[in-house]
Amino acid sequence: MPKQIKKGLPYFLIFSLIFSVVVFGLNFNFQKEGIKVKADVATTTVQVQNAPPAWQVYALEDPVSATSTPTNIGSQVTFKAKGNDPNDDPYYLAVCKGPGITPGANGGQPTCTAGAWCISASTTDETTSTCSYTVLETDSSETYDWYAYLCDAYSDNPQCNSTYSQGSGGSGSPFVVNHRPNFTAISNDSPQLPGANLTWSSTASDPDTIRGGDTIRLYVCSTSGFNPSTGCAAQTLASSSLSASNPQAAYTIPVPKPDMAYDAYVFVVDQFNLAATGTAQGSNSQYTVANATPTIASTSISLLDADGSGNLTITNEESSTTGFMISFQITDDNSCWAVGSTSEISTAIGYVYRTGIGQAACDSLGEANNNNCYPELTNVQIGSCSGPSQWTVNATITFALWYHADPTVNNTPWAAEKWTASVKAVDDDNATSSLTEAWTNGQNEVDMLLALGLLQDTIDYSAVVPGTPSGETTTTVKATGNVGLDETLYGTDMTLSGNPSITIPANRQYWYFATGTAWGSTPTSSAQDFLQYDPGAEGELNCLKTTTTGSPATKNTFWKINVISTQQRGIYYGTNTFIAVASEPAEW
Amino acid sequence: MKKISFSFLAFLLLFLIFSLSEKNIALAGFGITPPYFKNDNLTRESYYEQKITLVRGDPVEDSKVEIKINVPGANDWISVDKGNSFILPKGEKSFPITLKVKVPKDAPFNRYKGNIRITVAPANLPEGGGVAIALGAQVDVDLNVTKQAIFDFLIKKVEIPDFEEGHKWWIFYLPGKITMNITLENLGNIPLAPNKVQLAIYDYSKKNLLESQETKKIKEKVLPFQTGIVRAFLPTKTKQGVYWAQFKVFKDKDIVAEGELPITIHPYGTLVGYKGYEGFFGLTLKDKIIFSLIVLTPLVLILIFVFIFLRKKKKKKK
Repeated sequence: MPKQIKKGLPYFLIFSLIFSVVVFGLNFNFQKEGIKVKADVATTTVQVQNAPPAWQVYALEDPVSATSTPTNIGSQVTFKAKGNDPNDDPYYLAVCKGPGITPGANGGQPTCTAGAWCISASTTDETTSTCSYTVLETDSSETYDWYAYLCDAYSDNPQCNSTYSQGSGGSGSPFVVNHRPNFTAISNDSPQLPGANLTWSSTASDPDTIRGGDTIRLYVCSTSGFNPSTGCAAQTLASSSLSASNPQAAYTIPVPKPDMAYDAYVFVVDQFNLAATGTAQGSNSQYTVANATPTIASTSISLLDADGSGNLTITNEESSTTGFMISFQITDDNSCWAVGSTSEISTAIGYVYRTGIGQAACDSLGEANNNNCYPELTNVQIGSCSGPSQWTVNATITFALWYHADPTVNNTPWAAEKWTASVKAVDDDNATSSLTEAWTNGQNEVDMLLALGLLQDTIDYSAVVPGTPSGETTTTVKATGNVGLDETLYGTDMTLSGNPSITIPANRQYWYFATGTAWGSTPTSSAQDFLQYDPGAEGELNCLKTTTTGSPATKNTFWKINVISTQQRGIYYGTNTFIAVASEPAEW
Repeated sequence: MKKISFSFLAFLLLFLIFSLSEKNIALAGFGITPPYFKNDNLTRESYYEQKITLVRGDPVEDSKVEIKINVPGANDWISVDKGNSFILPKGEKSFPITLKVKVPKDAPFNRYKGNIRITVAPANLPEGGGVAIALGAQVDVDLNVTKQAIFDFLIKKVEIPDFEEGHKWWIFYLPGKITMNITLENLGNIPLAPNKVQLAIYDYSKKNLLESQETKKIKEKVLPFQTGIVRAFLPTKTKQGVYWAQFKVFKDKDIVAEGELPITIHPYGTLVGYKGYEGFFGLTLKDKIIFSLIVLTPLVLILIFVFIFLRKKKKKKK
């Protein structure tokens, strides 16, 4: 026996033995039903039943609906799961309200015993199945359990898995519902002035308690457009911070803002931006901006001449001169605009007076004095107004001064003073500003009007006897300006009619201020003198400054002539000149 | 006889009444305003003018005006825009003339006093003999020629027109531009403007100071003896809204005007006709430096590079 065969013999024996045992076992010992002997052929059959899909990914909420992330009323709770069917059939995800489910017939949707939150559409095996439930207003509980099943979408003997899934953790059952706050009443504390705070107070609360009480927020919008997530569609007038109940929102009324009623739509949302329910939600809680009293900045007031610059210059003798102006700026927190595109400022009233008189002594009509006080001036021009955003408006009061208004320039009794103005503005609700006096730099001077009139247009000596003084004749000067008057007098020689070479010298005329003075009395030049040629002599006439409008101050000058005894007879003509000179201030 | 004498007496009475009433009709009055021509601060080559208005009460006809100047030492410097003789046209109740003085360059430093007489000739000579009356008025003249330069002025008005808030320009911020219109009367004999202007912006309630600015750069000047407007420009970062501005205007170190005014700042780009700070020149000094560094640094580097390159090229050629 070869050596190799000798070595392999034990292996062969072992293999043969094992083979024999197996063949024997198969034929005799491993058959359950015992040995049946049939003639000819033996047939075997088996029916494998449909198996339900199994969880590949357990059911879950996505997004998570949990205490801190509840699902708002009206929003959807979305469930997801992934099934693995042994037969690779499609399947349903059924999220039931309670345990128990019946597979659908003919591959249809299953039926939850306690009702379903949602059942997915037929889903391909091993893909994620999704179904959603829209939370209803009637879902009053804060939490709802769910039970998820996977069921065959196979028509022949469909199966649901026998064990439901409730997920786990935050994304597991139950889902949490966030309910609307209840918003029942709103009020605001208007009317308020521009620049002031206006507060809306709500009656609102939230029914949820699972989080220890939800917080709510109040929005006040300029229009009814509102999105709970993003807020007011137009202008947000005010919004509150989150609070447990009855939130309040404050609005600082801008300056300027016309006084009228404004729409304000109010909305309450909770901390999860869920809009409230209730009668006040979205209602119009109008607010009213109160009427503000206009003001006038002292610095804006200027007293101006008719041409806008320089001293106030009276240019009409013995009458009034108009065109003088008080310019100023009115500020109104309601703007210069009013409802109906009218003017918020209805009028203004001015008072012009010498500073020595003072505002208190010239703030009513009864105190009017054409010398120094012009109250209640109402010829007002209000400047243009561009609209409700214009805070200030310029205004001008035009007024007249009488010819004897006290001058305040140098060399007058009132040189230490000026003229000033006070102004008050009245708005369309008759609110009146305080009477505001011009700042020092806005004051002005009334200038001197040196003017005289004469009640006579000639000096008529009538018939005179040569060598004998004439009778007394009079000229009367009246002060038709605002200064006291002296006069400078001079004249020409009188010439004989038809022969100008024959003259009566000017100094044959004699002037004086005291009636009855004899011709030729010692001349003083200031009170009596012979008439001189140009430039003449200044007489201290001392005609007072006029103080009564209808009765100008007057003063007489008396005249006599004494022609020489050899003076040729005839009619003589001459010209005397009266030069008005401002008298010394003490003599006004 | 009785009848005749009664008729004669009645006629005489009527005549007397008529005559008396005629005599009491006032001659048309005449006046001037102002009745002075004064200036304390003239210097050599100064020019000063003043309007004098002639007024008449009843200008029913043309009247001849004569002007006589009597200012010893200065008669030749003084002139009247209408000349020394002219016609006051009928219907004109007030008639302006302008007195002018032009001080010669060699005028002695002195005070020159005198008067200017303005007379209106009588319209008609009296009938049947007698003396016609001419009216006139005297302008007192007091002119002082000094060698000192006088810096003196009065603030008449301050205004702050609406303006726009600042805005971004590239990486910089261009501030809003406050314009203070200052109307001043120059009393001195040199062109001038205030030395300094300060402005403090307060909120609507006037309680909170938001910003303070000042400027000493007032380029515009008002000529001697004239009234005009100078503008002070100040930058501001204050946003749109309504505010109160408290201002101070300085003459040397003295405050010559102070007060408060309402101001309105509009959003950028909304104010028609407004011209704010624009571009490089609108930047603050600090931003100008930064801008210059950003722009100039690369330019300088390029120039250096070009210089080196050209130098090397030159060397190679050699």
